[in-house]
Amino acid sequence: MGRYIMGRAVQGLTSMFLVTIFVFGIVRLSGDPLQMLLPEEAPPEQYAEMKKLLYLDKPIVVQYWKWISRVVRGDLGTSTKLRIPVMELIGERLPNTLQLAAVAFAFTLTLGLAVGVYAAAWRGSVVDYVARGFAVMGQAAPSFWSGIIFILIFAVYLRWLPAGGKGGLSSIILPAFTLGWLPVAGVMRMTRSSMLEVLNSEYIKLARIKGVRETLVLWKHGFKNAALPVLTYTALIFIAMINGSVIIETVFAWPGIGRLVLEAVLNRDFPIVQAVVLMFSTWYILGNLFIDIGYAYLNPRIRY
Amino acid sequence: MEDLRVYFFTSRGISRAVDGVSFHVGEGETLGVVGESGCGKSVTALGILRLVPAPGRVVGGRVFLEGEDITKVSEAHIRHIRGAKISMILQDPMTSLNPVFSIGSQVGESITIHQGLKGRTLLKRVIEMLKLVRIPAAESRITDYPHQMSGGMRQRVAGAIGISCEPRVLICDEPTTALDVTIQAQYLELLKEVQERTGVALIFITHDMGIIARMCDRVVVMYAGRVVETGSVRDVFLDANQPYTISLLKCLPRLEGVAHLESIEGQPPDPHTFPPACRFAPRCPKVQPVCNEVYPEMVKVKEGHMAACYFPGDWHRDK
Amino acid sequence: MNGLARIFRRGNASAEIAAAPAVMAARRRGFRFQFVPMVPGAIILLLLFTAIFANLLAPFSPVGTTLADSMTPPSWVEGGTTKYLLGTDLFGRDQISRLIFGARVSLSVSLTVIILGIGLGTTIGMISGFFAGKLDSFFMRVVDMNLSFPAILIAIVMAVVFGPSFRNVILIIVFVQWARVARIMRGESLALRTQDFVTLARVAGASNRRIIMRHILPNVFPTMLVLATLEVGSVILFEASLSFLGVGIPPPQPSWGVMVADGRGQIATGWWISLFPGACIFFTCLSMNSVGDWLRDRLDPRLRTL
Repeated sequence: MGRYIMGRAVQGLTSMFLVTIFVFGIVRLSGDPLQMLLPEEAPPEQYAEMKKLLYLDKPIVVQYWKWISRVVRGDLGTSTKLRIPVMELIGERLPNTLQLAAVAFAFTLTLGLAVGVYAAAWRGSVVDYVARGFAVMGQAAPSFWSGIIFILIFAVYLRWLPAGGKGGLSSIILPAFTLGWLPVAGVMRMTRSSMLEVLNSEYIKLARIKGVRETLVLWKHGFKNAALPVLTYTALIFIAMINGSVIIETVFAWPGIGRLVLEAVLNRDFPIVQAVVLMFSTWYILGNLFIDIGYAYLNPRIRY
Repeated sequence: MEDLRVYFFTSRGISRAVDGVSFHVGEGETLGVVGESGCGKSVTALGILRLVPAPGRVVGGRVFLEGEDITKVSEAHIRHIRGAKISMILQDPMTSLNPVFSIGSQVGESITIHQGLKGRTLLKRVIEMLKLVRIPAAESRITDYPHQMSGGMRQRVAGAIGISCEPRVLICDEPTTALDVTIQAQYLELLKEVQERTGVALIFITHDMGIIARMCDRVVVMYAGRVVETGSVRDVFLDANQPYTISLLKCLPRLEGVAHLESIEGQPPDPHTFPPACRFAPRCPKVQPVCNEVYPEMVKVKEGHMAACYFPGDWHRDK
Repeated sequence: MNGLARIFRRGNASAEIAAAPAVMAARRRGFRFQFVPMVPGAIILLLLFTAIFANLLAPFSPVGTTLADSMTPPSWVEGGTTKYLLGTDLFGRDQISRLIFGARVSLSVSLTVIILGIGLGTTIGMISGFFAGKLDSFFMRVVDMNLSFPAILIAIVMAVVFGPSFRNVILIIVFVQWARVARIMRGESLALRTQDFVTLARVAGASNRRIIMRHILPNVFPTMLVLATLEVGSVILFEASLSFLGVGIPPPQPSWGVMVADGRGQIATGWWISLFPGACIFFTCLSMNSVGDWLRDRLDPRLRTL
């Protein structure tokens, strides 16, 4: 077990290293990094300051080293446009994104797992068909469009929910639902097919022979086995949430990281972009690492 | 059990997997059910427990347990019978235990459900059960997971689950086919022993005539969803009256007769399109015109020995 | 016992043999309507046709503005005219013409991406899986890294760095897509390389190159085809998302994603501007995905977890 965790951790670190190279390189790849990192109208003293900060007169390896050592210390630079430290900006916006993602995640897990389990248990029933239709549609509908359609229905016509911005509790419903639709669809499909396989197994037969109640057959004997492959899928939910937040926050004018980074990209405010890409990738790699370890704990067969 | 019928309603029509099967088993008795793969043995067993998988359904017949017809009782009631009064050991120990629970909790589960034991008393009981099926160092093994045990050990655990609530009837669905030959013998001994101690009635489903001869008091021979011959093991083995039974017995290797080991020509009929005639007629070496018309009734050969054939015993002695 | 076992095995096989005539009879019955793949297949064909003959089918120029006709609703809504069947946008551009040309943009982007991405992914995947060892672990690290990027974000960054253009959009999507293909293809060829026929070819003295081309490639081909179909939908979605965010196909070219974005500000007054292009994306992806699923069940059921 210890060796397994070590191996996975080393893999994660390698991936992290490659990510930093990419984030570092992308700015340099396109020619003059000063031009990329600074707005055109920046005064010459800002240019000089940046040039010193980046060690542009030194070899590229030294530049990378200086940059990465600053990043490790938590210094992600200063927004060139807003002239505010990037960490401060992120700290301000991050809670909003996390709130949104948390609601969408909860929604994904409860709905995706519950409906997936019952769609499998009642295969061919109305529940199964509705669930599959919902999943198939979720995988084909562009989230920016379904978001707009939801706004049209629930905000413009029915006036039940606000169209955008962050206000009370009601303002989180539409964005979270839109953000969650795709992952719900995925989790539902995975859970369903995984449950179908498990429900056909001999140990489920044995559980029924023992006289176990059907609810327990499903959730205790079935679900615990079926959940393992679904767990791996949670990593994909995570990407979906991160990718989705950029789009959803734009559609619903949600003041989170996604919108911050999109604005930053369009304003060519690269320190923010670098920081956010780095942050999201780190989360993703860490998330994957924890999932693999969790998987090993839950599944007694690979515990060694 | 009387006239049990289990039909599968598939897109290709109705498959009559079990088409009127009757037998009985008494306390402390061992009944063998023998027949080819697909003749309906396992479906019969699941039919008794009302656990036939969809699209199958029990469409007729009655199953009496201590005078009560359990095909009529409520779903909640039958659940109290499953595991407590009628239990079952499945064929493949590699897949019949749940991989994510320790064997202790799996053995203990039915005890908790049916007898409400918890905590230390439950633990004691589980260990007792594991000892009964001769699992060495039972105390330390209850926290093991199935994948940490060998096939033979796992099947013992499955046996422990089967008898954990002291059922009246224990159905063993080919419990030894997946085991090594030496382990098989041990396991059969073990089942005999358990039966002697608890007085449980065993229904032994197998395709192995050798096991029947060794284990059972009476035997039921099934072919294409029906019983073709039934009687005491002694009667059936020494004086088989139905050509299918005879053919089955001829497939059995004997010490003195290895040379004429035979197999049965042809294939069993498709359960979707059973003819009204004798279902063994197309493969029967002694088929007569009447065999292709109407299915033969069960005829009494002697007390407790019946066979479904127009010509029971008329011709089989010539070999 | 052995004799019996032999019969039983034969008994099992016979069930399959018995089932075979029924299946064959069903096939012989000839044409039978099946919703999938026929309906989605027809939609895809219609779309291809539209894309190819866009210039003949579209009643108006997709970029020509007629400000006087700005925000005309669809013809069946009050205030609409039959001149613009699905209405016009803020600049008075005909929606139908833009949708028709949008099909051309979406399909040409996605098909080019699929060809390049599947090609690249398959090549790297096959080489990686076939040679295994160090080369394999290097490629797989790169793949892992690629998959650990938040794809949309990286694409946006690249679009801004390299500048938005038709060509760059294609290259960017290929960049974020190939790794998924490579990982699956690697798994396939990793399994194939230990198969007997590969060993046999090696014994016969075939070169690595020959083994890959003659033995591995034909065997991974069904998977490749299934992946290609399944990926079209996600590529179309991805392109639309980039265009929606303003970093994809540069305006005034009519991309469906751009059109949805155009209608976002007008959602309260001109619902039709966003609705129709979004519906086009939705039905295109739906059709592609269901044909892909159908193909996968036919050709390669092991991929079912995709």
